[in-house]
Amino acid sequence: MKIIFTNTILVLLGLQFLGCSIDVKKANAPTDPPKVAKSFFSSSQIVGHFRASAPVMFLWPVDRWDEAAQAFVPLSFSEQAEVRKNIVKASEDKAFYEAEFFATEKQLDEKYLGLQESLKQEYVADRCYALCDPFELSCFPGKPETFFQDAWIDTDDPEELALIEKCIANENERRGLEADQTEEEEVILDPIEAKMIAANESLLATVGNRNFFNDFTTLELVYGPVASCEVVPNDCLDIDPGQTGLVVKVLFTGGGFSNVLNSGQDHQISEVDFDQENGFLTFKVPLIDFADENRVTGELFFDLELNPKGKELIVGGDIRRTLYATGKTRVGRISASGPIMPIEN
Amino acid sequence: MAFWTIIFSSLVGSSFCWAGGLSAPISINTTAVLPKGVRSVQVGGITTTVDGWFNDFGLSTGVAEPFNQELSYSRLLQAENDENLKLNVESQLRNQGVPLETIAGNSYADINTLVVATIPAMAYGLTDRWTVAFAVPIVYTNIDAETGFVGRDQLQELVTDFSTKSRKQTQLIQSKLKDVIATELANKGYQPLEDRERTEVGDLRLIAKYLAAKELSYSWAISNTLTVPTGRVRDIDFIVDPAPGDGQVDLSIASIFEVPVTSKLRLINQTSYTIQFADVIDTRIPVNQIERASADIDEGANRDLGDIISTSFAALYAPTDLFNFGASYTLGYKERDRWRGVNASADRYWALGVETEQFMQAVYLQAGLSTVELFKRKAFFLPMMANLGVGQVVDGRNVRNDPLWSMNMTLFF
Repeated sequence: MKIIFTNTILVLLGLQFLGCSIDVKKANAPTDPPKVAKSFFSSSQIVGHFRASAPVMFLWPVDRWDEAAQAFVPLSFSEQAEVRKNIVKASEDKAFYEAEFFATEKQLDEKYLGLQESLKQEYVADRCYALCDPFELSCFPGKPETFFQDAWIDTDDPEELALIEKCIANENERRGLEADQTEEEEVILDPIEAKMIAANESLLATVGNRNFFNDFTTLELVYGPVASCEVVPNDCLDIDPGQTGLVVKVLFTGGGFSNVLNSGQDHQISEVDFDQENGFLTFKVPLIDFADENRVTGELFFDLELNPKGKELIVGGDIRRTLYATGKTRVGRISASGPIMPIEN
Repeated sequence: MAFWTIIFSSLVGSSFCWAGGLSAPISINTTAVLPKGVRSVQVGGITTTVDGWFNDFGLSTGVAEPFNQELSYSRLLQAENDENLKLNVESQLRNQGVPLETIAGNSYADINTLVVATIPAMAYGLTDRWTVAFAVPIVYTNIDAETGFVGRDQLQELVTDFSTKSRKQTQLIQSKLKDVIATELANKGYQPLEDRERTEVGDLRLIAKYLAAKELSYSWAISNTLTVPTGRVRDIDFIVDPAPGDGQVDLSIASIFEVPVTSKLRLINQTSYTIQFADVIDTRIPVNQIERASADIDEGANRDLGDIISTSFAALYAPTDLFNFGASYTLGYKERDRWRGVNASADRYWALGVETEQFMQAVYLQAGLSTVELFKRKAFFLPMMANLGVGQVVDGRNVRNDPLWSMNMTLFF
């Protein structure tokens, strides 16, 4: 009896802790967040030398001029969002009209160039250049690439007269085409150009002069085999010569920085990091007042994204400017584009 | 020798209070006290899950229900603390002509919690009418949590469009939208909502029970319980943290009235009032009634948890000396918590008390085993008792409604 009850006690005591051995029910919550298409960036697309002059670089406006107060007043969050929206819209409009302008211009050029070329070939085939007046100073009877002539030879030969007439008609037709092209450009291109200019003016006005970085003149990237181990990023100091590396250079009015060592004042770019999988490039440069004994007044952080398109590279991203005097940081945008050229040895 | 039949609840109370609120009963309290000089050692066990509750409207919902929300773009932006990203996204939405109040998607959460409390207790009969006791729960909690976000088609279109403008920012947005609850918690300085398992000591209970009257037709006892905050209080860095303590002192006074209807059946009424004393404690200050998660902290807010009143009617039936069965019905009410502080507006402190007023109707069933009578007849060597019970809240407001299983064993010496 004692044994039974002693065992019962032990079992009951054990049961007190039984709950701890129960597994908690597995939680399950539905999830289907938005997805971004996988980045198809390949660093091999940007191997080469990229140099963009006068990139567009500005800080997002954070205040506005108040006429009544005769002072700058801070923008609320909503106002800042509205200003950014206007800048985004103006940038998109500008990019859209620029693309439309250049595409239309190219289209018109191709259209008229074809007709012009065909007529020129006919002009050359007819040897019109041989029928120019030898007493005219501009006449080069032996030069087939002369496509317009001021005077023709004096002749009674019906064949020559017929040919001269044909040559003059050819010239007139080409002049007519030129006029047509000009007229068509005025009708089609001018309105697009006007919109492009308006969008640009709107962008400039919305950003405001005081928010532009006008002293930032050049952004230069060289991505490829590094001749010697002289580049800071990606621990290049420890890699073998010839391995692919990155050289970043920026030029401000008054001075230039790069991450290449042993080149005087140039190696002032720091914290260079290149995400080769996504094409994200970040680095930092000091803000130097060159007019004031090269005093360092703050720092500028670049957070860039590289987008290759064919042989072009489009660089865009955020900038973050911190002024040491105030400790305040402001953010902005940078955009630059240009061709990727072969690396010169 | 009915007073020998002291049971577990006499020591630890008849309900399992979870951080100062109402909960289903775990036993039936009687007027029984220990005879002078008699001691008892008890071990109680309580097992429950914390998955569901009756909400403020009395509807049964999951505990994670507040996380399941339709989220507008405005709400998503509000939760973001990267000002530049917020401005970029809002300007893009404005550029696309998307109203900020448009629903971007739904957040979902599922939180399952297992709670197992083991409650060792000791009691001593000071006189034939006075019994004192103490109990210290050891609480094991195991949380399994998962969160998710289901975006609307329009959001996917916007993200796709945005990715053509900035891959980097879109990757950042995507990472934040992957789990908006986790993002919001991180932005507000909370620890991640994730699986957690811990065992810790709860609040110490000191109990004194006095048998005020003992007649043939009735008996009446009064008990006082002082709860001392020895248990860990809720960590304000966790959005969900089932803590074993509430950080303040409680004093409970209970009147137990027992009528023996027959030699085998007793009817019992217990009415109790618990004063939860005001204290000063760290807290997050909700943004508003709806948005409870907040980055704002008050490290010294004045708090007064609502007092609790409850009454229960129970029947205990012992067909033999060895076995007994019991059932009870409990009605409970807890006042709304009140908060005061100086770190935010009064309405934000008021929001801390929202959904803290509780009401409960609960039932409890138990089956017990006792060798006390056998021992008294010298038919068994050891006086002991064991009970197994289950309590269930059947109706209420702002109270958990998962079944609460309890088990206890008492040895007398």
